[in-house]
Amino acid sequence: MCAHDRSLLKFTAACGLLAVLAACSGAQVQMNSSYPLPLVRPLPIEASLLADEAFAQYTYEESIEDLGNWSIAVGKDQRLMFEQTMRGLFERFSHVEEIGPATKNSDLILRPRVADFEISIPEQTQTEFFEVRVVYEIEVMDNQGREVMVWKLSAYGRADTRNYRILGGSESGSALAAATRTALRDASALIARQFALQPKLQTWLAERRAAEEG
Amino acid sequence: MGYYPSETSCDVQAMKTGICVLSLAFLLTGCVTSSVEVFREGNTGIGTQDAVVVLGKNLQTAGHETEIEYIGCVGSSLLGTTTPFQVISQQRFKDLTFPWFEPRFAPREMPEFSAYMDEPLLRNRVESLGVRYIVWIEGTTENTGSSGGMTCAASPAGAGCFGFVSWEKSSQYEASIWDVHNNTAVGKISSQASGTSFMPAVVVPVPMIARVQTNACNNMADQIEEFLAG
Repeated sequence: MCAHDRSLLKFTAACGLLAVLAACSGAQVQMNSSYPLPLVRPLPIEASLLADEAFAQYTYEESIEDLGNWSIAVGKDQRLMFEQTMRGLFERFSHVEEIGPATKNSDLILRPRVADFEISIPEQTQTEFFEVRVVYEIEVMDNQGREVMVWKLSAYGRADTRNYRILGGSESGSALAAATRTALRDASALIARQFALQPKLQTWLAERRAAEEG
Repeated sequence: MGYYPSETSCDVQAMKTGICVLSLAFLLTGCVTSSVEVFREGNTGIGTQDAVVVLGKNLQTAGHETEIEYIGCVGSSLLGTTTPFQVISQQRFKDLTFPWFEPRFAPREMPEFSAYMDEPLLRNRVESLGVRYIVWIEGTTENTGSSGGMTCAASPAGAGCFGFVSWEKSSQYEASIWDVHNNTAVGKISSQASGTSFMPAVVVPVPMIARVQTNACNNMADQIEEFLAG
């Protein structure tokens, strides 16, 4: 057996081992996506995003018995998603670190937090899908920090493993990242289409309009 | 004392074997049978400034999703057709019209789309992109069966496989075509294909792949082009 054959055997064995490990040891996903600006009529107000450190650095972690450790570093992406959504949804947008003098020009401040995060993988559901469900709780305040509303929304995304196969095996990390990206886009879509329809916000907008006119 | 081939001769030999196997694989492909059905509901026509968007009808309901690869294949095949029109990729269109075509909000039927087009922002964006037709594709390619077996072994004397395996695939796709200018559904095209791939092995496995999905994609693209031309 020549050196070439030996190398080939070693390579094949290594690939086999990697495939087995990939199937059993979960995935560590580092999200780094872009999110579009929503095409909606912007509300005529200035809004600020208050994304604390826990939100901006959020990482979901789960150890699933016999199926390995799974983690998704989603903080950076969800902060960007909220930023893009708000840039489209409001006429003026800014970031704030806290409620105080810096927020005096803001009409509304949105402080999101992850209320729940769930994943399911194909081995659990006996389907071909990686699924992600995120529940965001958005605290909406005026510039004095008074509560306007607390809005809980549930976003969902899934990815068909058949779209993420390499050499016949499933690339779990890519599929899970795609499912997460879809869930974040779903959250953005929900906020863009339904934020202004929330009854408490409509009341606040009407009162603000009345105060400006009167 | 024995004969130990030098690494150079081994490389040349391996290269020759590789070339032979690759050539055979290209020459020998499995058979595919296919059919296309066209159902026309309205008149069509397309110009060089008009654009077509091919979208997967992936609404996150039960069942498989249409493969991203297939949607991309139909889009790029339409770009290569003889009729000159623009093709906008699924991702670009969904980003530029976000959030209107996301799974949760995408219009299921033509009346819903017509209502969407009452929104000036969306209508202006779709018009500025020059979109004349939206082609919604649903369907998948499935493995429908396999048979045979193969044994591979490696030893210090060499490695090889022996046996015969075959597997069948079946594609079924349907395209619904919407005329954006007239707000009407103008027709449907169905494309079916099935084929069996083989892999006999006497030392070296020689795959003969039936390109079922590619066949269904090319047939679909050809029919869409013909359909849109009117």
